[in-house]
Amino acid sequence: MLDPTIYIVDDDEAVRDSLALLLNFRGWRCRAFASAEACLAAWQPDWRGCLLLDLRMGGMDGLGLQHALVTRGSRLPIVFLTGHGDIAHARAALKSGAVDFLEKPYAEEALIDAVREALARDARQSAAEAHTQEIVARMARLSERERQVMELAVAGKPNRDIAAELDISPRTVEVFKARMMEKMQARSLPDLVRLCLEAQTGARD
Amino acid sequence: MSSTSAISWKVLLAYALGGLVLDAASNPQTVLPLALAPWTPPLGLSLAILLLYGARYAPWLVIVVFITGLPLYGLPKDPLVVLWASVLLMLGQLVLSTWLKHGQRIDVRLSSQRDLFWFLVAAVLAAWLDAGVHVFSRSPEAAPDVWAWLADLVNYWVGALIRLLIVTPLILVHARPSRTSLAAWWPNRETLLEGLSIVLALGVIFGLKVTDEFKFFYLLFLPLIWICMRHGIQGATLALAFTHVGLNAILQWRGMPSVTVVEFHMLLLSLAVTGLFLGMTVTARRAAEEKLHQRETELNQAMRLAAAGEMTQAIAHELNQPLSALANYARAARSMLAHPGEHERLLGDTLDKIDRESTRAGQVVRRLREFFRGGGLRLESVSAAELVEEGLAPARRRAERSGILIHISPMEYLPRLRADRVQVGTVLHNLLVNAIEALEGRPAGASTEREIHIDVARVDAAHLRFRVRDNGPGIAPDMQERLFDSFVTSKPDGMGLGLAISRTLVEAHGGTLWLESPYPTQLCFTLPVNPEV
Repeated sequence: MLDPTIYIVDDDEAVRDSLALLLNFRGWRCRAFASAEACLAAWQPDWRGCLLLDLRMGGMDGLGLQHALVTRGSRLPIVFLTGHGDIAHARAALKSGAVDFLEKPYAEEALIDAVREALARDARQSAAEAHTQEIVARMARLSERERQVMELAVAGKPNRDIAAELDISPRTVEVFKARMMEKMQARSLPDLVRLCLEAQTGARD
Repeated sequence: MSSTSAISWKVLLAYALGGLVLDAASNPQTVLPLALAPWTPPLGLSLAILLLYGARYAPWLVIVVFITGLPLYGLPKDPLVVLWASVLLMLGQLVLSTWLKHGQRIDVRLSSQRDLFWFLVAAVLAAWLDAGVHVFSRSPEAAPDVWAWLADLVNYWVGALIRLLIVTPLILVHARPSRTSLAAWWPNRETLLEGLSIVLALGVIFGLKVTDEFKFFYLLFLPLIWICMRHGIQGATLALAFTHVGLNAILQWRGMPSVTVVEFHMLLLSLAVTGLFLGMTVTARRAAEEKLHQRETELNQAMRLAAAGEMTQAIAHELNQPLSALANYARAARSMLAHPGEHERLLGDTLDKIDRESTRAGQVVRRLREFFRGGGLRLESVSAAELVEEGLAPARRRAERSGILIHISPMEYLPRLRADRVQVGTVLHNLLVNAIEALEGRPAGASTEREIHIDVARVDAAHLRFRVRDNGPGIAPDMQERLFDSFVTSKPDGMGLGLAISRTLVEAHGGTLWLESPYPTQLCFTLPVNPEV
């Protein structure tokens, strides 16, 4: 996993260079691309941080890049920069999940705030993602029987019903259940239900 | 409420005088010996008043006519019969005028073929009513049998219809004139020739001993067609009135037998209907052409605005790039100053970049200026009069509609200019539209005429000065200083770009545009004289 980085995409060399310089001095790592295509070619799923996109560029524009990245599974927050604040574009960008939409020339405060918020959102997302992955990893360690017992227990069935359904003795169910709870690091049945839900919602997002 | 229901004495006075004039001019007694005419309301005039000013005038019209008839003709033999006849006639016209206005919803100024058609239908009915009332109210021994009586009825009807077709449209079409529309009729060479042609036709028909009275009647159609083609329905009504007066004068002078008069009236009727419809066709076609022209002008202007908007977008984008880079570099440089020793080289680099970016921004501005100055201008040798016409043409109709007079000073002796015809036309058009809108906004009921003066004068060897002056409400003190700023406007739907763009255009020519005086509003600009001539 990489350190959080601000990925700048702008076809104007001076704008790109000055943005990187300024954000460097504010203590952030930056990486700049001269075109949307270059950024898309370099993109890796483990990128962390946020994107600063110019809306209007030669070739693929900012909205196009946003769309392409989302379809590839990127969840990087995006801040758009534009030379002309046109409402239709701003709406489209924000609807597809952009964090902010800054009109050039922007105040430094506005830029810094937007970047900060984008990075914070990314940090929250990464933390949530790590948590989900941890639960999924625990589930992966369960044996076939343990997984079956877990599903039925989470569905609210008492041990006797689980035994009848799996055609094993209630005693054996208890043994599988104890081992499963230990592997899932769940202290109680409600705790187990919460973990399963978190894994589901995390995977769905 | 009181203002709409008030009776204007001016209208009544005009009605009384008009009635007397019509009596003298058409003299219905020549057709039939009648007992009622001087005291009953004249048909055409009454119908016009009812249509123009409303039904509330009806009782007054009856009274006014009766009173004016008294001193001239004395008391009628049977005042009660006259009164009944008057009331009956007025009621009939009231019904017809209400039907035209509210049933058929015609424009009482007769602006379309449809208006004219329904008016014609109403006129036929009104003439029957008039004929019926007058012929019935005669003493029984006036006509020996029912055939003679019917013949009288038809004769009277034709006469009444002609008077209606000539008098009423004349008044309706010319009611509430503006001075500009009257000015078109001020005797100039053409209107004099047109009048002369009617006199000539009348002369040929009646004057030559060898000609039989009706053989050459068709000659009257020629001047009528000419006038209709040139002046539309306005011209047609005037020409018909003039012809009618001339014919009546000749009939009186020559003492035609009444049989001839009836035949003559039939011819006159066809002349009137032809003239009215031909005139209306011309007017309607002109209105359609004007509408089309106006659409085109509006479209042109919209496209110019769109182009300007497009360019503004492009410029904004081009300027924004170096500006945001500049801001970023400057902010970064400020951070470097926190540890100056550490970042000395980087600071120098950044300052170089700042320098480069400001040069780039300057280039954008210079390109923009060049676009307006060099590439945008198409300079040619033009006269001041051509430029004024270029600016005035699209605004003239609007000024006429609002009753605004436009005076243009003579400019025959001015030197030619070197200018872009379209751009200077745009400047003049902007100034004129501002003046027209200021005048249109002036509260109604002001006594002075709304006027715009355009004059051009030579201020020095190399420049002409154009001045546009209006007698509108003037320019408010808080607007005066910002008059030429972009996006400053006093109009509710204005963009506030007209004067700003105008100033840019004039300055691109090497002239200046300024506010000479806020009240009365006077805007002036100078343009260089063409040095080649």
